[in-house]
Amino acid sequence: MSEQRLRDVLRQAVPEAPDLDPAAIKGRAARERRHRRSVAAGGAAAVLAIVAGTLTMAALLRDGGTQVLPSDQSPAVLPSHTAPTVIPWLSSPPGPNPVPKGNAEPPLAGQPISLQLIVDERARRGEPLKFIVRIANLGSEPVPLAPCPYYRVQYLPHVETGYLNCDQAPDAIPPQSHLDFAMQINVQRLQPGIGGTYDLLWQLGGEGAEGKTVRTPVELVRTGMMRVTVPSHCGVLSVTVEGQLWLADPPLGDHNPPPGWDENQTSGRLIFLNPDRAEFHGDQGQRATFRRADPVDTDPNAECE
Amino acid sequence: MGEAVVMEVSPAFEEYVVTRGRALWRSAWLLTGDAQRAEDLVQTALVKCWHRWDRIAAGGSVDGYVRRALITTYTDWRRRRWTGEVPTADIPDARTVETDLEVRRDVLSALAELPRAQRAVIVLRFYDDLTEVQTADALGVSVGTVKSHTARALKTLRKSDFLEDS
Repeated sequence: MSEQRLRDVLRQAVPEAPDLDPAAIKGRAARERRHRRSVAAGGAAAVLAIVAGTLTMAALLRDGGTQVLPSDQSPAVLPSHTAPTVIPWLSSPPGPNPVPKGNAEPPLAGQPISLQLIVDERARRGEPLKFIVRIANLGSEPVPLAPCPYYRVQYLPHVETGYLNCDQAPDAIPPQSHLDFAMQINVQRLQPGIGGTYDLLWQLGGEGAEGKTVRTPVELVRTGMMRVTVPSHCGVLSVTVEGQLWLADPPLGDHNPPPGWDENQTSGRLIFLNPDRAEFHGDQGQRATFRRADPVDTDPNAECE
Repeated sequence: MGEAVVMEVSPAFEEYVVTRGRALWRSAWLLTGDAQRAEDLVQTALVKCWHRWDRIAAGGSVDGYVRRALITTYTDWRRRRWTGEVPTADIPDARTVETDLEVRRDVLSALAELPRAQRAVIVLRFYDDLTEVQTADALGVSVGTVKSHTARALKTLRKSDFLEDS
């Protein structure tokens, strides 16, 4: 294939592009900025607490010290899972992992249904995120729930699978009606992060049988600091936290671990001073400052071997 | 001509999104192979840029900056495992010509055989028609790396069952 032929094929393949809405993008940017500011407030408070010595690490760290400051104490508003119209969550999916191997037809394929997620709480690390999935029948005939549909749900990189609780649901979704299923997914405790808004994704079927999908942004409660491992083999150059690159400012070491740093990786806490700056406190007293990387920055550690 | 110069030097964010958003989406579609994720990718990149828009616009090379943000975001997404995002309320467009669908499927299948960096090089070089230098800048790599990625990607695509010359 010639290069010109490749150009032609690429152009032929690309579908018509939608119009993008600048207002929607600016709205999302504003929401993210507001959230980053709230993160900064939590991080700064954590630093002050440490400096003043008014709180011990034992008090700061929760759950065995593997996770981070509980920097937001506002109570979550729970969805009304106990309402009689909500079908309880099936905590133990029957049988093995329901996701089939190879290509298969996803559950409720071809049925006139729509999905909706109802999430009334924010996600907290190490705790289940509870929500409701509403399956609506838009058609004029009942939509049978047999065989019992299975699903996949994802929040952050964590994926869970299961079946709908068909035993406690009607045999079918009546026409022009809907059923609400209580759902939950564990929010990973060890996943580092400072909070933010991430999509909760819920899909009928699963890998190899991907059916209708719905997603909604869910706020992950901010944390003021976290445990991280900073690469130090080629000097202290950068650390990536939940996909966000942070650059050492200034970089430490001359392409080698600085004195007192571990040969490969150095563990410690990353404390967020504001949305753009963070301070690393190593377990052995190491110190480094990081700045949030620009979108165009590349990871200097990528060259490290 | 005066207006064109002003637009080139410092477009308002809204103006840029309206005039360039569709082009960015098309590149993003080739990178992701999915309309929903393409829109998400472009939005995410533009959100990052919006925070610094004054600085970017003052710098003069808005397109280059946004494209680099797009590619960096795409590269960061390598950690995401989700592959099946399908908007729930969408109805397949029955008007799409069948041959276009076949080409589309074949192109995406062929591109899916490439590592992410090579795929980005192919899109930038042969869809966006960037030079090797511009591609290197967008990817944050050397020109030599672009050349080697291009050569390897073309070799793979030429062997691909999905892109045979017809």
